[in-house]
Amino acid sequence: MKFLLKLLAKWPVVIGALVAAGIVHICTVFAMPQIYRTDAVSRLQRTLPLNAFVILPPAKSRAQVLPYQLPDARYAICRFDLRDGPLVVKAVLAEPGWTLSAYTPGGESFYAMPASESRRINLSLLVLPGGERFLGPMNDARSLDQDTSQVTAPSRTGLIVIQAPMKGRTYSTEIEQALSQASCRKLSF
Amino acid sequence: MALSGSSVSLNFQLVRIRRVLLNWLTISTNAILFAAIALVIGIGSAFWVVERGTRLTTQRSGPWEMWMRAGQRDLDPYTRARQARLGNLPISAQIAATWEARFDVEGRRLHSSCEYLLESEPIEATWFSIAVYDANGLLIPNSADRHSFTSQTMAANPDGSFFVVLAREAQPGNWLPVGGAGRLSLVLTMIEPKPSVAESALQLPSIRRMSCR
Repeated sequence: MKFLLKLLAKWPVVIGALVAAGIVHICTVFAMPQIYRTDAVSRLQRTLPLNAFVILPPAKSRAQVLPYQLPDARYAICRFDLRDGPLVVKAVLAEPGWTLSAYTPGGESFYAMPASESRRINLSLLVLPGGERFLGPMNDARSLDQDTSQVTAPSRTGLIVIQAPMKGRTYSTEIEQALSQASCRKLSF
Repeated sequence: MALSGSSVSLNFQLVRIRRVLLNWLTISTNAILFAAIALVIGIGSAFWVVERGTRLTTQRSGPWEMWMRAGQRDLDPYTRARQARLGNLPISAQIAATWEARFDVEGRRLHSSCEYLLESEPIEATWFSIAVYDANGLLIPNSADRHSFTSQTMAANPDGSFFVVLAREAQPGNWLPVGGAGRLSLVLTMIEPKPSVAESALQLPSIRRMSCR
């Protein structure tokens, strides 16, 4: 009680400090992505090759690539860089539960496609650099399917992630084969 | 008795020094109080909000919580900070509902020294998974190498309802081993829940504590 009364006597300091606390709060929240250099994209960017899908090993205890990784799913990840032009992603979303997502380095998903319940999806996706960085025609454009979807990436680099749930461990090889058909390549000008 | 001139001057000096010291002490106390309030409340509240979320960032239903903009485009600063802290890659909340529970229905922290029963009505989604992790999102080592059940691997009743037991020792039915993990985190992922991601809250299982050691 005595402490509270003393604190009340210093009300200008307390109010000033509360305003400062609000500023510290905002600065801390904005600084966290820089403080935590353990975010998924930063870690994967150090280990994955560029513009190619890599199938991650099945998640096991003490051998997890990502925290909260789904243990009953297999992942194929492509690290991309759009500095030299657009990227063409081709993948088969074979069964319900399969998803393809594209992430910026900040972990924002700028594209997400789930598999259809009724049929397998042969996905063809053209990832374009944002802004004025891509203007010209592409020599490879004729090789693209007519039903190729286009998406503009908000960042130059990022990750394409295919997540494929397993019906059981015996299906692991089958899923790995389906994931190995996925491609992620730079489109030449 | 009259005071000498030098004695008056000494007293005057002492009073001045005392006043300067008191002023300095007051300023120091105020500065320390200011810094303590600003840093403790500012940094503490930032971590608390990133850990627990607010109504602006998370949807709650009983012990379950979902970060509504997880993995989406144009993340708010709190969701961005949380994703950086966890280091995960959540599926976009546009196509998936990712619910996390760290407490039981009575608000007690989930812990590996207790047994829990999850009971659920049929879940309407293209695919779903219930996985258990330790407090850091790591899989819990166990001899059965079992960490989750999915809509494809779950032993469900004919009507689609199911139950899952979290326990140290083997249990009949859908048993998820949790021995030695300490605090637990339970994650329910629904891909394309019906009718929508926001309404997936209506399909969440209950989490009841059965016993503790």
